[in-house]
Amino acid sequence: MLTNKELSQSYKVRKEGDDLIVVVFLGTMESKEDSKRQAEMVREEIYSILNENPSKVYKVLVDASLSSFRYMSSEAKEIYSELAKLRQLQKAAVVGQNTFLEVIVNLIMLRSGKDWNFHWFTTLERAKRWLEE
Amino acid sequence: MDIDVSKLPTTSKYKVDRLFVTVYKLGSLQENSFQGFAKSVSSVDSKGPFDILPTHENFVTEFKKKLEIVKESGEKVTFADTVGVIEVANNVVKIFLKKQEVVSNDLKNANK
Repeated sequence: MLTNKELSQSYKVRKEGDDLIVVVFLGTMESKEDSKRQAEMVREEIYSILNENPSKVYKVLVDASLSSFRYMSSEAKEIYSELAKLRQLQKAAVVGQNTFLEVIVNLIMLRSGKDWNFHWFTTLERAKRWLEE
Repeated sequence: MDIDVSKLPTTSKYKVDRLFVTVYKLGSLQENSFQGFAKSVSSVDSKGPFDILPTHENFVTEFKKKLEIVKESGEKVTFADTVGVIEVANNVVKIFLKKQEVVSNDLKNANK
């Protein structure tokens, strides 16, 4: 099991500009527990940005191109699916080259039940351009 | 008294194991490209060509190139130049396609 420090180094969450939340995944979680804890930490940081202005709507850019996802625990999927239900998050671009992750992300978005404006990209540049449209 | 085991049936008299296949398009999972019972699903992954028949063991893999589904009627549905993930669990096959181009059948006929 990874330490909190190691987990906190496996992702970055930041606000960019006025209405963009950027989530970068740097490491792949191998265990069920780490996958869940990483998702909880990501959720906490996203909530802290959203709570700065609860009426503001954000776009989300998830960069998983540096991570070789092969596994995500069901608890982590549930956490991301709950996040995807939030009304404050409206448009999301996910960047990655991993087909397994693309399937997982599609299922998470479907499970959220929200009519998402969501798109998968293989390059960061195209994702950013789409978010700006 | 000895029992001649060679005369015992090895398969069920009734057809209880059928493959149920659904093909989803990534990006629009609500719409499926194909859904129905099939005799087999064939494709290629990093280890080479593979076939999925009823009672295949549960597995997940990333496939490349061609995907072929043989429906119970014998009709073939082929997706060419495709990449995706296939999951088999208890005779239920879920196929997630990245790119697709049906060459031997059109999508309207695929569900028939």
